[in-house]
Amino acid sequence: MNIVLRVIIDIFIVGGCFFAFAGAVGIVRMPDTFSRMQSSTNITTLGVLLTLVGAFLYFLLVMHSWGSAAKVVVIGVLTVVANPVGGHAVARAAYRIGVRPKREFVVDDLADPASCVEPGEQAEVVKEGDEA
Amino acid sequence: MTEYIYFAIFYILCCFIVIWRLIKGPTAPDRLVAGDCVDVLTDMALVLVAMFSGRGIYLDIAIVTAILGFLSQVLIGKYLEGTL
Repeated sequence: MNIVLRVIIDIFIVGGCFFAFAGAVGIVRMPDTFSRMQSSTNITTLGVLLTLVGAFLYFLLVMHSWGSAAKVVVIGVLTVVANPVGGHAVARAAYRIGVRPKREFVVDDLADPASCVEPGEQAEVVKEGDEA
Repeated sequence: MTEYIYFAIFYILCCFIVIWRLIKGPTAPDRLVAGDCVDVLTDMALVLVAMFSGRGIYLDIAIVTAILGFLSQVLIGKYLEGTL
């Protein structure tokens, strides 16, 4: 096994471990809910991506297994695409049930009642072909 | 390779750090975010165990865990918001 390739893979995985540890400490130590939510993205972006790059290189260049490398790519794409959507839902839910950060908002768009239209109440759904 | 199992153990220790927030967290979104982080860290530990043991079956489990974690986060978020 090529020692240079092994060192490169280990550097990627150690970087992922560093960011995962930083995110975990941030989740414990941050003062309010939205700061903790921001610190959790530290895990789900760089902590995941660096580890998965290392795993991709390992499966592709050491194990010569294209199927396992494709599965690693699927895990990475799924995590990167899915986690912002879930974080958005959780942040909206936290605002709606009354959680506020410790400092005052600079911009508070959700406080405007016209900006958060419940589906079915005021939303005008325009379908194609309804103009006539 | 033997060093990958130590990285997997490190990810599981990070899981235990996050589980402290999951137990203590004052509001429901805190617990939800901490649970999602436990899910993602377990994913990474499974990928590292797959690299350690050389078996691809752990990657399938990691894919299923990632999909279920995303679904649970979105569903519990919509439930807390009241629009489910």
